[in-house]
Amino acid sequence: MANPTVTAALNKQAYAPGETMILTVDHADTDRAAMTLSITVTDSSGNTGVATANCVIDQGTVAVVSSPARTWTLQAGATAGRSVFHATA
Amino acid sequence: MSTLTVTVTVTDSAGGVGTATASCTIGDSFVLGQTEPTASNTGLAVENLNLSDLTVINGDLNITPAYMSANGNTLDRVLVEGHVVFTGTAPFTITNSVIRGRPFTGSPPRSAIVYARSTSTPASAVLNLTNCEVYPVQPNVGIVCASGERLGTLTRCNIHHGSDLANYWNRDARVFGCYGHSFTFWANDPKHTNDGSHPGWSHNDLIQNSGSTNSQIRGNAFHCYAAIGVGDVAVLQANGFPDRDWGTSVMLTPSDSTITAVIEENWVYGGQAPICLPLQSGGSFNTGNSWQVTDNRFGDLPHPYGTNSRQLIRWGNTMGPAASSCSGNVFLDIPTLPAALRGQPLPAAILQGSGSSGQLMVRVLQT
Repeated sequence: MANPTVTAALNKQAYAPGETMILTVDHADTDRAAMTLSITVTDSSGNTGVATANCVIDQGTVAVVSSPARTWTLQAGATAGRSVFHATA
Repeated sequence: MSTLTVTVTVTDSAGGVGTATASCTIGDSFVLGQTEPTASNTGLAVENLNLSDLTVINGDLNITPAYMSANGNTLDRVLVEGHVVFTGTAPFTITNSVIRGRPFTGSPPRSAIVYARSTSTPASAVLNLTNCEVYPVQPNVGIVCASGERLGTLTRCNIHHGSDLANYWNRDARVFGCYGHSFTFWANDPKHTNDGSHPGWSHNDLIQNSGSTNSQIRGNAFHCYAAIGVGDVAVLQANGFPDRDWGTSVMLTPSDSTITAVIEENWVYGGQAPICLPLQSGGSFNTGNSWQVTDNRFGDLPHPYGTNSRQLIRWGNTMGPAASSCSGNVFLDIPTLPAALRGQPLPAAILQGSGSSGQLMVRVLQT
């Protein structure tokens, strides 16, 4: 099993106190895969019903800490490979 | 300006871990002499730190030559729950820290929270404080915030609740961009039982200097009011000082040697005779002192002498500087000042009295 690869980038190199910092975290994993299950049920008359289900194999969990400490909040819209956080400088 | 480092950890379902870091700087727009110091831009606030960002040192911190050999000459982000005692033989700097003494019974453990009362050599071996907050958790008439022959430069510090805030003994005072406020008043100060006007009342000075060749006190905010709810402030308020405007912001007392000082671009509020190089009869003070008191901003008027003599800058006539040593000082344009004074330059100094008993003073007559 491979370890995740991670990059992290702040939107600026310098902030004023009180300014909002945006942190973009991109991560990948060679073991990660999106899986779609397709299920077909056929009755004795040949009628079929179909359903699908989606999942991600080996999805990573992202944790952020900083020094000095700040409260990093996950923004809406995170994907399997990108999470965006914000905090106050 | 400070550096913030972010560490990101991604953990997969099998416990595999990947990490990354990112860094940035966080600065502020403080301009010495132009930005008024407050609680929001001094002490820990300079780098937006909290007490939880500090390493706690329980008890006194003794900075000796041996300590410095083992630990270097700087210390950052500590909370000293005790006194700092400096006896080093090289300069030492504490940054982004809080120093607040410790509770005690009986007499105070030290006369200062930051105690640099040393005559070790060389004289350049001083203790500097930058972005620090200094105050006693247990105020006492016998405790000042910082004191010593080896007290160095105070930069953007928040200093309060001492009976004085910073005492420089026979060395240059170097105070830049600090916020000095809320001294503690005491009605039974054993050092002043013989005071002719108020026997036993503490003589409170935010900055005091007893001799110097190049003191620089620049860009600070001095709020010369006794702290509320501490010491004997109720006595002060009940006996002619309801607004707690007692004491002196900058007191230069050339008892150890002459004074040479530049006091500029400060914000000065309250007190009584806030900037003072006092007349001392009997010759116990040195003559030949020199100062410049320039481009300071005065806020709320000091407590009057008599009914209306608000003496903003005052010094002994025969002890040194000429009247022209004070220039460019102004009143702030704030609503707590009488309308006629707001934004106006301070008047020129006048001579009150004559000869060795005369005093030069910059004053306004305002009831």
